[in-house]
Amino acid sequence: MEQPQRRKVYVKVNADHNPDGSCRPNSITFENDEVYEIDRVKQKCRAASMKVGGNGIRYTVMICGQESYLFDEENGKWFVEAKV
Amino acid sequence: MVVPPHYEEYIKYSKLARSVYNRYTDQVEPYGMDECWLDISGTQNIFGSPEKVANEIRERIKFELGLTISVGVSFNKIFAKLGSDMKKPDAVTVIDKETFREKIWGLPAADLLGVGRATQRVLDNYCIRTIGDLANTNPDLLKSRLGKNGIALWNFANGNDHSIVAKQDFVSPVKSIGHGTTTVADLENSEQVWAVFLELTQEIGHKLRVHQKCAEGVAIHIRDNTLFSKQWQIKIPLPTQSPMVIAKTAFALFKQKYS
Repeated sequence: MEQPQRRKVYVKVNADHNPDGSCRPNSITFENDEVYEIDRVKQKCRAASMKVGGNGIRYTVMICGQESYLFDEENGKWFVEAKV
Repeated sequence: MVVPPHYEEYIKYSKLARSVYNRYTDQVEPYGMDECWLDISGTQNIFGSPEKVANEIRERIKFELGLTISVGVSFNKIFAKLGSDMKKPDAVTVIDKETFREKIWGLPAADLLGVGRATQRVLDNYCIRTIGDLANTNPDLLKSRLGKNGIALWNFANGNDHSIVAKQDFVSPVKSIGHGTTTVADLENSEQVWAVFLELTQEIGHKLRVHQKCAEGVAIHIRDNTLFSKQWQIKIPLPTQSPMVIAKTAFALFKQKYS
């Protein structure tokens, strides 16, 4: 099955930065100003985005029952692989 | 098409790649900004075979950074470097003791580390075109034409490189300390040259003290307004950190040699 086209979209992220240095993203605000709550963070690892390019700390998150990736570029910017 | 460089990105990815290498060994020796030697000798029981480690590193770099690398695996640094250049992109090449002659000796001599254009010109005079030709040349001939570098290249071609991979925190010892400048106007007389030497040697004296070294010789490098340059050197009778002694020695050498 052909994968849908993706594009890199930088998003606003609300996150908790803990005293031990860990970070837990709580919600993202997409380019249409819609806010999506992150129900759960399943995994976190350093990874590159093969679909839209770029890399950073990749959070595997659950949003409205759907699994998706949220990337922290470690320069203050976060992005997602949005559908075209 | 000309595009601007992103040097800071280059530095960032270079550091990230090295952090992956450091998971396997602390003997990670950079060669330029985007190449490294890793010594993983003795880690087979921990990480598996060298080829397996090479492929694992290749996959990790691709997964974490989105970059492809080519890896050479061999029993010495020279052949490992050659191997990394053989198959690109995103590949692992193994060169072992049993097969290096058939894999490497047919390659151009210029592919061997240490054979630059000037060396290749010398080798061409003796019809030494391939690494195999180099390996089978009388080392005395190479020594007579290329000096100790000729012997080194002969050893490299025959798989006799035994240089070690430096540890990641290795800092090479300071062998020389210098300082230079391009003056805003041409220097017209000896007094002006002396003033420049005196100023430069203040910094040299300071660096000598910082590194706790003493100068045993002085070299001066002069470039004129046609960009023609010349270098001379002389020993100092007594090792010194004194900027004045160094300046006087340099100036005396200049007056003797420059015409």
